[in-house]
Amino acid sequence: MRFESIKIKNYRQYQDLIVDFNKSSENDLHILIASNGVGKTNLLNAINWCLFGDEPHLANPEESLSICNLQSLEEAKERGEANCNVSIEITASSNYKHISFIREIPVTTATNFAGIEKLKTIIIDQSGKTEIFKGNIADDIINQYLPRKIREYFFFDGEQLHNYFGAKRAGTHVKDSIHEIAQVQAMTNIKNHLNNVARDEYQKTIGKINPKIDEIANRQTDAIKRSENGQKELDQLKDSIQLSKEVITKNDENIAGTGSLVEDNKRYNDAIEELKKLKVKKEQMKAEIQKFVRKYTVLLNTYSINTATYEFIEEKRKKGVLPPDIDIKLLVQSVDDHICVVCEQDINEIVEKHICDKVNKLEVSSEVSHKLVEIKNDVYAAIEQAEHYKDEKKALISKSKEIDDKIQSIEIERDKLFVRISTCSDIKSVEKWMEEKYYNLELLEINNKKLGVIEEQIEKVKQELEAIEREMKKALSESDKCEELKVYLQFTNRAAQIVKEIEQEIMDEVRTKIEKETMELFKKLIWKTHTYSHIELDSNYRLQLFHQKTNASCLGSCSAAERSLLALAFTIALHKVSGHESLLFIDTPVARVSDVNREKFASVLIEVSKAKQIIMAFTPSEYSPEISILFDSVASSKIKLQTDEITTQKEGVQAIC
Amino acid sequence: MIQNKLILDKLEEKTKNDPDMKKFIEVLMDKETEGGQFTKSYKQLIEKATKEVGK
Repeated sequence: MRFESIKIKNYRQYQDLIVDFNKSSENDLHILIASNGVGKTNLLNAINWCLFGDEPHLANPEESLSICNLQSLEEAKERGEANCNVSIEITASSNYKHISFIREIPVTTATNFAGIEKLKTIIIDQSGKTEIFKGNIADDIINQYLPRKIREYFFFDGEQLHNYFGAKRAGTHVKDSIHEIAQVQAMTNIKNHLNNVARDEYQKTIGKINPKIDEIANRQTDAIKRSENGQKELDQLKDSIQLSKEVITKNDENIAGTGSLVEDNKRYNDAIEELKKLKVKKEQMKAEIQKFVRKYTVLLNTYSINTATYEFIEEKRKKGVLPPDIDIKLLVQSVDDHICVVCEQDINEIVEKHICDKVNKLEVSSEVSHKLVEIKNDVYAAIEQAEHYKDEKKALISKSKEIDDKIQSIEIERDKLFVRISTCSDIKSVEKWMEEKYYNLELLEINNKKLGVIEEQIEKVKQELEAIEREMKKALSESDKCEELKVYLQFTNRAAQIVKEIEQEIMDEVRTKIEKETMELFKKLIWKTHTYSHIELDSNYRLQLFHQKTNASCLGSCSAAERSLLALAFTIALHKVSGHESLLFIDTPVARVSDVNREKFASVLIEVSKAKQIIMAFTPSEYSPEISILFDSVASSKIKLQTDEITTQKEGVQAIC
Repeated sequence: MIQNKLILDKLEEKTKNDPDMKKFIEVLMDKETEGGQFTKSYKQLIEKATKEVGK
């Protein structure tokens, strides 16, 4: 399908605008040039409103002005008219048919309230036969040519292209859209409809006559349901795996260069905690030292006196001038009685003489002697303790030094870590990224395990289904009843099998061809031709771009311009591979693209426009010499949209070819 | 109408000895891309195509 013209009446900036897209050269390429505010994006909105009844490119729909041109509303009011009609007509052609899509809405001049929309589709075929469709049927016809759910692959805003592969494209949306564009969906629908008719119309009827077939058919329905559910689960899981991979890559990019930051931050916090503990220890150490000083102040100050006292007593003891442990009085009594008072045995003269000599030598009484022995023991203990001073002092100093050294080294580390982590303004975000990354790594592992299990289950159900099909075939061949129904059923099954094979092969081929075509186009569009090696599309058509050197997906590291060009390459490849003949309308196509890439962009689009209608809306500055020099000589039309506000003070846009 | 040449080529290849089947699937492809309710028309098409086989 190609657009022949767009007629806009009283829609937003456009009071009365007709833009023709006649193909006057080899290239079906049409350039619209308009300054900001003239209504390039509203032209995209106008197309969407006419075809689908909404305006997806309004910046803020809640705060937008009336859909009706304000000047037109005022003029209608002045003329005393109750309504002002907004209408857009797109005239298109496809397969020698002329098709007009017309949408209108009345807006009341008194309140600016919009009334009820009316849609009309007029088809005129080669012979001149004209058919007019309204309402839902008109909608259905539009959907046949330009399906609403895949409109973003026909009409898009170049400034948003870099978001093309973002999170909002999660799920099977892209796959479904591509299958729709490539008409794989049509094959899936045919297959499902044939299977339904085979089961519900023929098998069931045959089953009523032959209960065995009915039972097999029930098992078949159950297995098909399980297979479909398994496939759904598998798709969701693959999607979740891919999402986790993307989150991991994104977080890796976010934390690149700050990889050890979270670890550093943790170590910094640990260092602060350790310092707190060490400072408590240091306080305890101080108390211990004070106790030590108090203890040894007494011991050291009394050390010389204690030593002298000890030596004095010891000297007396050695000289034997101190009485033995036994009381002197008892010794004297033993000599007087000639009997030992302790063992009660007689003692002779020699012993008596010896005792008398000893007693005469004694200088102090037994009481004094006992006291002296007591003092000697205490003094000795004090001396002995005082002699531990050096060792105890050494141990205490070493323990204290150890704590001081530890504090000092942790303080140095803490300061170093502080310098490192203070380079990052948002450590909380880094922590969040790390947390997200590790969560997704775990999720990835779990989902990969689940994936294997589900794949195995699906394979089992597939084998079960094949066995049921064989069983059904056998049961049907054994049944000699309902010959006619059996013929229908066999024919339907054969058709369904062929369609299924086509569907499966096309799914794989479309994906492989889109991968190849996208990469070829992308290489033509960018100047870094050797940076990227290849593109891979997963089963949900999520795109991964691989770097030549690392062989890892690097889509997240691409610039906005590269992503825009990749999205464009992907879309063109999709159109080319699917054979879909719809046009491409791109608003501000090179807004994010720089000079060299603009030249390449122009060359690729010129080539594509040989087989496909391409309409592009540029701002004057965007339509730079690198592009205009290439486009001007080949474009079928170049239209400048100008507001007449400056010359007439009226709101409205004119097209100047 | 099926515009994807890949699909048309595949159909050609898979039904080269069975022109009736090819014609039948082509009709279904047209039906399917036109929209609407199918079960009834599918049944009619199957029975019509089956009766025409080999004619």
